[in-house]
Amino acid sequence: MSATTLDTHIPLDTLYHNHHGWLCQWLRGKLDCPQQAADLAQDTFVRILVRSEPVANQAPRALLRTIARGLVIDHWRRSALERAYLEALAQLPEAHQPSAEQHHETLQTLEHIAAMLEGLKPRVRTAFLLYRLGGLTHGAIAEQLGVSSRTVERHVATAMLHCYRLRFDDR
Amino acid sequence: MTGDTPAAATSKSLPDSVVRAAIHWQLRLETANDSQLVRRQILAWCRRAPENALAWQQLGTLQQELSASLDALGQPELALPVLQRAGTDLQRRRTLKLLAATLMLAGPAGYTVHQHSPWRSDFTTGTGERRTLELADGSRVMLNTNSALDVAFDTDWRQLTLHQGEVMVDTLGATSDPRPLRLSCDFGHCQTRGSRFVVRQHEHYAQVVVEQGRLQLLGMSGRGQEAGAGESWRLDKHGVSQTGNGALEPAAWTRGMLVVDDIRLAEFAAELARYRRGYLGVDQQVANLRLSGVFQLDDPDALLADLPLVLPIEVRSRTRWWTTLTARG
Repeated sequence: MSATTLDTHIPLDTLYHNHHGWLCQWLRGKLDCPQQAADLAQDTFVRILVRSEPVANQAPRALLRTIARGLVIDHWRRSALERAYLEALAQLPEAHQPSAEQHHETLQTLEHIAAMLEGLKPRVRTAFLLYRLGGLTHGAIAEQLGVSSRTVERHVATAMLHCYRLRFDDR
Repeated sequence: MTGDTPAAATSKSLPDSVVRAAIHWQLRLETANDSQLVRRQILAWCRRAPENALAWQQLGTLQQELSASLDALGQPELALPVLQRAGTDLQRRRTLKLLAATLMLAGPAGYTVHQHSPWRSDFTTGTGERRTLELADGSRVMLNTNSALDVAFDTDWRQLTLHQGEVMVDTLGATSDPRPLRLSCDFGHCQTRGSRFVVRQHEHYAQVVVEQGRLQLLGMSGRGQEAGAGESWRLDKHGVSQTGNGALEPAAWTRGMLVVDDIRLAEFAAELARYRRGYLGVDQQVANLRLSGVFQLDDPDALLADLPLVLPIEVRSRTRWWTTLTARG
């Protein structure tokens, strides 16, 4: 590797030193919780660390921001999901309360499914969930959603195509 | 998502039409009376083109993975509302343009969420429970259903922290205490020396209603507002703002009642659902029906059973924990 190519890349410690404070600041503006912001800043650098590509000298902050933004979105998704899960749990009778371990596993599975269904229209998502998870027939779902059976079938098929693309397409 | 994608290495992505056809066959198979016949038809379809066979095989894999995930969830009455809500939350955020580029599909490993667990709080209530507390200074605090509150008094402050749910705070009997009382929630703080007020924490905001006296409201940004008796305020990510009165009387629960004025059935059901266990859904057809009245909160199921007397609806229960309000058939 020649000296000129080296110049166009930033070593990680320099990157950390020059931009860590700024990144924390930026994240604090999104999160309200300084602790959370510091954690996500740390995670952002970990992401950079495990990336095989070196960081180009041109716009390092843009890269940091892009990665951090993804983590913020993830964070929101998780906390919204966990909150909803805890609330739903509270509705269940004592005997049905899961153990801490189950609780953790269920949350992970929920996250996985939520991520998979992300981007689907609410109706499509609901139809799919009622069919696959609720075990309702197309007719029963149609009745609940106030649409025709054919529409429900189309929704379910759309959701499945979406999942298929996520699973098998290399993007 | 889960692991890598071996199929992508061996083939370019299949056209939508082929995948859709495979999905169509799968749905046919699941709903068919004569599954043997459909199986033979599918086999014939797969033989017609290698793409068809690949799509069918991939769909089978997807189906298995999906079933494994869904089976792991166990209780559908738990997972369903969670997943539906998680979706709409994200949707809402997207409209706020807070979501820009979705970079990652997989979450960072080993990442933990700092979420408050209600069972770690000083005072908690379960579903349908209400609880009155007498604090050391003589203030009275009442917790509504599913709530969690911490109390920490020191030399400078009488600090209350509402982690979830709803609380009524009455410091009118404790005005001689020189320390200001502060109640904090996820979206800001309320500060007072003598007043009676109700704070309810929602998913994305907190509602504050002042019944008597005066209250200082502080948003997360630090901007403050003075709230007077009879006023209703909202604390959220953007700050503090005054709101009108909703269809729901905010402090009625402190008297064990649900008082509503021209409320949508869907909203009413969501409110009632706070006080009972299990899933309570409302069919689209009846969601916009309107309702006014005074209801006792002691027995939400009895209340639910009485609704068909005043509205053209039917209360359907699939299981004890799964109830839907539908149009009367």
